[in-house]
Formats: sequence, C-alpha cells, structure tokens
Amino acid sequence: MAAPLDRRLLENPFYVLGLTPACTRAELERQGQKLLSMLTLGLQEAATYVTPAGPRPRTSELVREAMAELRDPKRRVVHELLAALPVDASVAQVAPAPAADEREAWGEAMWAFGFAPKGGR
Amino acid sequence: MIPIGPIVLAVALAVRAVNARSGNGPPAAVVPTSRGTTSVWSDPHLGGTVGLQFLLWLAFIPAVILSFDVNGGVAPVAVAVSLLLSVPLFPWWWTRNVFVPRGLPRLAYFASMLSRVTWRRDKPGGPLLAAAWALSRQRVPSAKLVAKYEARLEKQFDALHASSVVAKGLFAAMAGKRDEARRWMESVFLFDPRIAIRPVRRLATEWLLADASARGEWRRVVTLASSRQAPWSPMLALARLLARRQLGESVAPWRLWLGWVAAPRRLRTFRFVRQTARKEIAPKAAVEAPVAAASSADPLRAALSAQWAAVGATTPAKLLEAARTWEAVLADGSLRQRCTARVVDLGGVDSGAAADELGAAVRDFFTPHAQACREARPHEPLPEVLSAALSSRRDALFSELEERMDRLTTRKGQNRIYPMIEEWREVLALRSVYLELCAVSTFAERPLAHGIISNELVNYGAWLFNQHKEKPVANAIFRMLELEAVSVGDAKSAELNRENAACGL
Repeated sequence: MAAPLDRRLLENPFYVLGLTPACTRAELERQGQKLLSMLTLGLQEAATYVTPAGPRPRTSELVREAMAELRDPKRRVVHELLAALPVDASVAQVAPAPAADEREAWGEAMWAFGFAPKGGR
Repeated sequence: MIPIGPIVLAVALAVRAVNARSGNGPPAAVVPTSRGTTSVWSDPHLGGTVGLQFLLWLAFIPAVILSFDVNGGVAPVAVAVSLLLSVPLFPWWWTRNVFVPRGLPRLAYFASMLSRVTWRRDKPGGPLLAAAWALSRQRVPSAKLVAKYEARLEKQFDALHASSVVAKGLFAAMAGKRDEARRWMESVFLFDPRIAIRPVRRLATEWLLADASARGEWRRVVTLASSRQAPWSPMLALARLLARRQLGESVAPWRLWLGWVAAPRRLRTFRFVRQTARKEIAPKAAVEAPVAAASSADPLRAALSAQWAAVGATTPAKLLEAARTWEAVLADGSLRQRCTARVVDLGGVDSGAAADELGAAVRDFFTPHAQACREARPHEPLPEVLSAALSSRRDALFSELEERMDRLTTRKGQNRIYPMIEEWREVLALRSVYLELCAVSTFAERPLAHGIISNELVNYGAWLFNQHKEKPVANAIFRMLELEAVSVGDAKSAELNRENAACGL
C-alpha cells in the first residue's frame, strides 16, 4: 500500500538523503552509502535531515528506503514533484508530535485520573 | 449476651434447605436472566440485602465502640474485628480506596462480589470491572489474571451490562488499544442509566476525560464534562475548568485551585494545574483567520506550501486552502505530460501512473478531513478534491453498512450468537459506520441510510431480547433506533422502538 501524503512529505527521499530532485542515479547511490556509513559510526551531523517543517531524525532504515524509492523511475517522479519546495521554505511552523511524547502524555493523564501506575503505559 | 447474628443466619440457612427440598427454591439448572430490575422495590432480593446489612451493623457498631476504651487507648482485637466487618459493610469503598489503588485485582474482585448495594444486580460485571481497574494500576498487569478475567467476561452467563463494557475497555487500554478502549467507554452511555449505573458512568467518563486531556482535545473535554449523562464528580469539575482555560475562556486561577482542592489525587494533578494557572491564555479568536493565498507563481509550489502548512496543523482553513491549490495542480493537463516525459528520461515507461499516484495520495489525505471542511464552510462550494473524497467515502460506507447488516441478519437467521461482548462490538461497529455515513450524507440522503438498518436491527434486537434474554443490549438498540427514527422523521419506526424499549430491562 502506498504511503500517505503527509508521510511522503515528511520522509521525502530527497530530504532524507539531502539531495535535490535534479541529482543523478550515481549521486544518490554515493550519498546513500555515505550517510549509512556516517550513521553506523554514530556521527552527529548525519543524525537529522532538514525539511520545510524543520529537522527530523534520520535512521539507516529511512536512508535505505529512500534509496530504494528513488531507484524506481515512476516512484521517483512522484517524489520529485513532492520535493519541489526547497527545504529552507519554512512554511510549516509545527511538525507533528513524535509518538513517544504522545505515549508519555497519555500515560501521565491516565495516572492522574487513577487508571494507570506512575510512569506506566 | 444473645448471639442474634448466628441465630438469624442459622434460621435463614434452614429455610433455604427446606425450600430446596420441597422444590420451592431456585431451579437446579441456571437459566439466563437479565439482572436489570427497574427499581429497588422490584428487586426480589431486597429483603435479604436489608436484613444482612442490619445484622452487620448490629455487630459493627458495638465493635467500633469497644475499640476505644475510656482511658484513651485502643483495643487491638476490637479494632481488627471492626475493620473485618467493615469490608462486607462497605465493599465498594474498600475496593475503590484500597484494593484498586494498591493494584490487588483478586481482592477487588472478591470484595465487589460481597457488594449488596452497588453491584447487587450486576455480577460478575461489577466485580470484573473492579478487577480490571485494579489490574490497570499494576506496573505490568499480570497476564495470567488478565486472561482469566477476560475469559470470565466472555463466558458470563447473565445478560451483558455496562460494567462489563467498561471492564473490556480497561483491558483494551492495558493492551495499548486506545482507539478500541475509547469506543467501549463511549458505548456505556447507550445503555439505560438503570443499567449503566452511576459508578459505571463515572468511571467511563473519567477515563474518557483522561484520554481527551492527554490528546489535548479540550473542546471534547468540555463537551464530555457538560454532558447530562456524565455524573458529576470533583475530578470532572476540575477537568472542565482546566479545559475551558486551555480554550482561552476567562477562568480565574483561583477557581482552578479551588477545583484542585476539591478533587482527589491532588499530588498527581498539582503540576498540571500549576502549569495551566500560570499559562498566559490568548483570548480565543471569534473566527479562524483565513490563510493567505500562497504567493508563488508555480501552482505546484503553491500547493506544496499550503500542504506543508496543513500537515503542520490540520485546521479546516488550512485544509481548504491546500485542497484549492491542489485542485489547480491536478486539473492541469500538462502535469501528466511532464510526468511521462520525466519517467522516460529516467529510463522507465509511464502511462500516466505517476500523476495518478499523486492524485490518489492527495485524495486519500483529504478524505478523513472532508466532512470537517464542509462543516467549517457550509455555504461555500467544496474544492473538487474534497467533494470527490466525500462522494467516494459515502459510496464505500453505504456498501459497508449493507454488508455488516447482512452479516448480522444471516447470523440471526441461523440463531448463531457470539459471546455477548462480541455481539455488542458488532453493534457498535455497525453504529459507527451508520453515524459516519450520516455525517457525510446530505439531510435528504439520511433516510436511505436509516432504511438499511431500521427494520433489520429491530428484528435483531427482538431476537436478543426474546431468545437470549439480553434485555439491556436489546433495550439500548431500541432506544438508539428510536432516536434515529425521530431524527429522520419516521414516526412509525419511532413508535415501534419506543414500545419495544418500554418492554423492560
């Protein structure tokens, strides 16, 4: 099943790899391998990528998925269209809340109302 | 001193034994019965309850008096006896204040089983609720006990009550299925208040308030807390005050603190009340400010710009702006040519698949928000992307409603019944599809949706009532159908369901 539009924007392969839609196939392979090596070594500069909604965490899985997506010409064209906005456009002020915070807030509210132990679920 | 208690107990046991021998007692085989009695006075066990309470009080009061001697000391044996007697006297108090907070499900279950007032007509639903609540307070809920009580919930012989539904919701929340838990808790309010008794509704309301607060849905908190069906509690009052302040209403900090003092669990709520009291609340805007049209000359960039804004905050204004800009992009015939040319450049073969994929992704994004956009701007024509999303959703919902109704009818025809809690899940799923269909339909289309369920669901309710003695659920179905019939102006159906609902619990 195709990914939803908001995920396609937030995890656009061009943003994940830090490339522009005009990049060549060789450039994307080189950049992907470079990022994977940096992530394996735990280098801080590879830990995040920039989107118009601000920085987001980059993982090896995301990089591998991005490379796979851009190898397919049909899928690459869709990603090119969705990456037409430069990362410095700063159009969105609020990025969606990470899931971990949401879980924590839920657990805390349930604890306050007496439906969960402290720091639980 | 004459031992009154043991004498009365011995007489009661002797009468029961004589009754059983003469065949006047309860039948040997258990028959399915509905536990919902319409009033305290129609309860056949009321005499027993009052008698037992009287005896317990007779023993409890002297024990309390003997606990304190005249020299200011305490008699440990009398104190222990007083405490022991207080458990069968106030089992629900002990459960709520001792066994549940300590995470003791077995004791919570057995103490609730002793309840002759709160859960007199609701066993094992009430005790199961207490056990589930106590389990939810454990850091890691005991998997063995969860499985045991869940199995007991599914296999209970008596009619399903709202207490079992809350227990099921708590089990779902423990398993991390929050959406499912929310649906169970919300469904409690479909039962007659004599079945969804005050402690059950209070627990369901407080759970829903906690859930809505955690998700920052302050409007929903206010709605829930103001509902007539939600029993008042200090926690509910505090949640309403906090939510109103979060929404920008003028709630003075001293009122928050007053609500905090009155509410239980003060240590837990202190931090949140302090944060909300200190927070500078912006006065709420009368109307959402319109989003400025994107200035970019390129329609695709304008659409993306608006889309990013909508992803950041899914307000109707931002969604409508994004939908309008996408409409311009997707209607542009050159997009397809551009995509095809680019795919060929990259060494692929394209027959418009990339443009179609983009269009489908855009429509899928807007589908869940289409109704909210229509409600926000009821007098404006919707952009094509949104109206197409609404229309396709409506068609899918019509098919799903018919399918679900057919499945229910077929099962009824074969007289095949699931465990009652699962039957209730099926009813809720059907209702949820029906409500969504009503929301995306015009007023003129609503009778069509009602026509699919009205007759079949009445028959299903009658089947549950007559053959399976599941009167509380059947009653909830009839009341639900009566409301719907009134809203679509079907007087005959409304009358039929009113009469059915009056048949009893």
